Amino acid sequence: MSVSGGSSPFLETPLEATSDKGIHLEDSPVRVGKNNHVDTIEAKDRQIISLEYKLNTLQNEFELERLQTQRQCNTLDKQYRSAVDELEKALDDTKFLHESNSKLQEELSVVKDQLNSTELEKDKIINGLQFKIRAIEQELSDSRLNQDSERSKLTNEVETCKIENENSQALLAKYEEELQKQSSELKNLIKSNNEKDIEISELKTTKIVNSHPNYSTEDLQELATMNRMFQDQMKYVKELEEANIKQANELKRLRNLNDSSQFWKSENEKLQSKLQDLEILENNIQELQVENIDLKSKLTSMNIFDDQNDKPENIINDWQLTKKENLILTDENSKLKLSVNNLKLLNEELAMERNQLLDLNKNYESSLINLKKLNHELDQQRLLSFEECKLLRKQLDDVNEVVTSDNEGRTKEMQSHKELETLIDDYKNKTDDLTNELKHINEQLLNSQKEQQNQLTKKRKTNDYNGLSYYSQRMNELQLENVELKRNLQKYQNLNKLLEEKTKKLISLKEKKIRILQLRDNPLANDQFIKKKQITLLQNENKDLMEQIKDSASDVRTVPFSVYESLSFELKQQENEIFKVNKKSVRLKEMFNKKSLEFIDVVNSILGFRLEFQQDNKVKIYSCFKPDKFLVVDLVKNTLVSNLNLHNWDELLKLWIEERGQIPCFLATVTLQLWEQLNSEKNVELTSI
Amino acid sequence: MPIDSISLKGSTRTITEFFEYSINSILYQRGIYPPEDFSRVKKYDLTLLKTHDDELKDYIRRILIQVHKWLLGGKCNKLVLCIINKDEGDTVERWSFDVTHYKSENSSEQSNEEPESIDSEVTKNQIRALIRQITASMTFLPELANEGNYTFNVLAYTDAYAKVPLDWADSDSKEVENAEVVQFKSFSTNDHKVGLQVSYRF
Repeated sequence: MSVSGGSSPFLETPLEATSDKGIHLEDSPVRVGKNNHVDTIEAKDRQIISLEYKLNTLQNEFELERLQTQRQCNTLDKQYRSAVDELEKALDDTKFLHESNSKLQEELSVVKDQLNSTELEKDKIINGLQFKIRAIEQELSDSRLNQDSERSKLTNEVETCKIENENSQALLAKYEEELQKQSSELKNLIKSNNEKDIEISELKTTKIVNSHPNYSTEDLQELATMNRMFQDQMKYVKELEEANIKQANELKRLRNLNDSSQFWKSENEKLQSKLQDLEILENNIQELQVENIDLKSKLTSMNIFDDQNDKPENIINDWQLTKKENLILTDENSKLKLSVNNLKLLNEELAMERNQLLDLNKNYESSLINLKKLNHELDQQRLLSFEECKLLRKQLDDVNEVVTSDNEGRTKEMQSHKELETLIDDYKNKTDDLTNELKHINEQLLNSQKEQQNQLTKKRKTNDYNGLSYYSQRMNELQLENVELKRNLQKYQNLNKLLEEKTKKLISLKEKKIRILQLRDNPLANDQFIKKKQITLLQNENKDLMEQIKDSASDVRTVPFSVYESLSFELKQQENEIFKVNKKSVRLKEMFNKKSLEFIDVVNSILGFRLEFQQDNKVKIYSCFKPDKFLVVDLVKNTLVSNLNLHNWDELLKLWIEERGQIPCFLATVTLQLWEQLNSEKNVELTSI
Repeated sequence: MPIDSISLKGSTRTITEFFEYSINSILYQRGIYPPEDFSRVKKYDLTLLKTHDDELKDYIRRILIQVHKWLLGGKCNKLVLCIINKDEGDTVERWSFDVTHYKSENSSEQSNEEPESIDSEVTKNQIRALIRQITASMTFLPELANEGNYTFNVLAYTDAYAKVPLDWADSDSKEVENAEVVQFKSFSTNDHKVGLQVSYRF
C-alpha cells in the first residue's frame, strides 16, 4: 500500500484510524490472554461493531462522494461540452470572418484594379478629347484670322464707300450749284430772248410801218451782227441744254451712288453689330481658351495620351458611366469598410469569448484533474479497507481458535462471528464491486471524452462545411435583430418625443397657475373684520382692566379708554343691528302693504267693494259702480251709514240686516241696484245723444 | 350658425346673468339672507327671486362685472359660491360653477370639444332645467342650523396672468372638509359650457 500524500482529507484519517486500531487489535489478544476469553470476545464484538459502523460510514461517505463526483463530472462535462461547442462556433465564426475579410479584401483589390483601369481609360479619353480640342482651337484661330481679314476688308470697303459718298455728296452740291447757276442763266437768256423777240416784233412792225424799207448799210450790218449774236446764243443755249442733260444724268448717277452709299451704311451698321457679336465671341473664345488651358494643364498632369478616336459623345457617356460606377464602387467600398470594421469588432468579441471559453476549458481540465486525484484517493481508501478486512479476518480466525478450544456453549457467538464474517465478505465483495464500478466509470468517462473529442472534430468538420450557411444565418438574424432594434429605437424615440411634449405641456400647465380671487370687500371679510376688531378691543379692555385691578390702590374710580372704545364699537354694532332690523321692518311693512293692496284689489275686483279701514274702528266701503259714494260701518257702535241715496235703502236694511241678519246679501243687493242704476243712466245718456 | 345662436359677448352675458340669478336663488333658498330681501321676478319662464338689498346687489353686481370681463377674455374658468359659518369660519357648502371655453387663444389647454352651434332657446331650456335642479337640491341638502349665522363669499378662479383690479385679492379655495359632491346639469352656449356642482358637509 502506497501512502501518497493527496490533497484529500480522507487520505490521512483512515490511515491513522487503521494504524491505531491495528495496534490496538494486535495488542488486544496479547493483553487478554487465555484466562479472560469472555472479555476478549466482548472487546472483539465491540471492535467488530465499531468496524461495521466505520465500514458503513465509509460506504456512505464513499457513496456520497461518488454521487457528488458524478454530479460534478456531469455538470463539468456539460459545461465542457457547451464551452467546446461555443468555442467551435466562435472559431468557425472567426474563420469565416477571416475568410470573408480576405475575400472582401480580394474584391477590394479587384475593384481597385478596375478603378485604376477605368481611370486609365478615362485618361486616354481625356487625351483624345484634348487633341480634338487642339484641332478645334486651330480651326478656331484660322477662322478668327479669316474673320479678321474679312472684317478689315469690309472696314476698308466701308471707309472707301464713306469717302466716295462724301465726294459724291460734294460733287452733288457742286452740280446743284452749277445747275442753279445755269438755270438762272437760262432764265436770263430766256428773258433776253424774249426781249429780243419783242425787239424783233417791234422791228417787224416798224418795217411794216415803214413799208418801204430803206435799209441803210449800217442797219444791215447791225442786223447781221444781231443775227450772229442770236445764232451764238442759240448755240450757247444748245450747249447749255446738253450740259444740263449731262448734269441730269450725272445727278441720276449720283443719286444712285447715294442709294448705294446708304445701303453700304446699313451694311456697315450690320457689320458693326456683327463686330460686336464677334467681340462677344472673342470673349467666349477667351473663356474657352482659359478652359482649354485648364484642360491642358489637367492633361499635362495626367501625362497619358491615347490615340483612340472615339466620338466625344460616347466618351462623355462612358466617362459619366465610369463616374457613376466609381461612385457606386466608392459607396460599396465604404460599406465594405464598415462591414469589415463590424466584422473586426465581431472578431474581437469572438476572440474575447474564445479566451473566456479557453479559461473555462482550463478550469474544466483542472477540475477533471482534481476529480482524477479524488478518484485515486478513493482507490487508496479502497485498498486500505481491503487491508483492514484482511486484518479483521486474521483476528477473527484467532478468536475462533480461542473460542473452539474454550467453550462449546458459545456456539451462538460463533454463529454471530460467522455472520460477521459473511458481513465482512459482503463488504469485501461490495468494495470489489465498487472498485469495478469505479473502473468501469473511469473507462466510461475516458470513452465519453474520446467520443466527445471525436464528435467535436466531426462537428468542426461539419461546421467548416456549414460555416457559410451558419454565418449567413447569423448575419440574417443579426440584421433582423438590427431592424427590430431600429424599429424599437424609432418607437422609443417617438415615445420620447411624445413624453417630452407631454412634459412640456404639463410644465406649461404647471406654470399657468390658477388664481383664486375674491372681492376684498366681501360679506365674510366684513364679518371677520368686525369680529377681529371686537376681539382686539375686548382684549385691550381686558388688559387694561387687569392692569387697573393690579393698581387698585388708587381710590379714584376710573374706566379705561379701551372699555369706552369697546363699548362704543358695540354700540355701533347695535346701531347697525337696529338699522338692519329697521330695514327689515320697513321691508316687511312694504311687503305687508303690497300684499294688503293686492288683497284689497282682489276683494274690490271680486266683491265689487273697496274697503278702507279707518283709525276709529270704522270701515269705509266704496262700491265699484259708485266710487264717489260709500258706506261707513262703525264696528264699535255697530252702525251702518250710507250716502248712496238708494230709494229703498230702509227697506233693504230692514229686510237683510234686521230680519235676516245677512250683511253680504244686503251688500250684494245694493251692488245690483247700483249696477242697474248705472246702466239705466247710461241708456238715458245714449238715447239723449 | 343659426340666426338665434349667441355670440361670444352674448354668451358671456348669458352666463353672467345666469350667475346672478343662481347666486340669488341659492342665497334665498339656503336662507343666507332673509326672504323679505328678495323679490320675485320672471326669468327663463320661471319665477325667480332676486335681492333688492342694495348692499348685496352692489356686491353681486361688482363681482359679475369683473367676471364678465374675465369671461370675455377667456380668463375665468370657475366661479364658486361658498356658504360659511360665521362662528366657526368653516365652509359648509360650496357651489362651483365650472366654465369651459370652447374657443380660446390658448386652445391647447382649453377643452377640445367642438360644439355645434347652439340655439339660444336650447340654452334657455338648459338654464331653466339647471335652475330647477338648484331649487330641487334643497330637498337633499342638509338644513343649515341657526339660520342667519351664515355668510357667503364668491371666489373666481382665473388665469394667473389675468388682469386683476385692486379691489380683488387672492383667496384660498375654501374647500368643504369631508364633502359630499353632487354634480348638476350643465348648459352650453356657442362659446362656453357651464356646469355646476355642489359640495356640502355630510
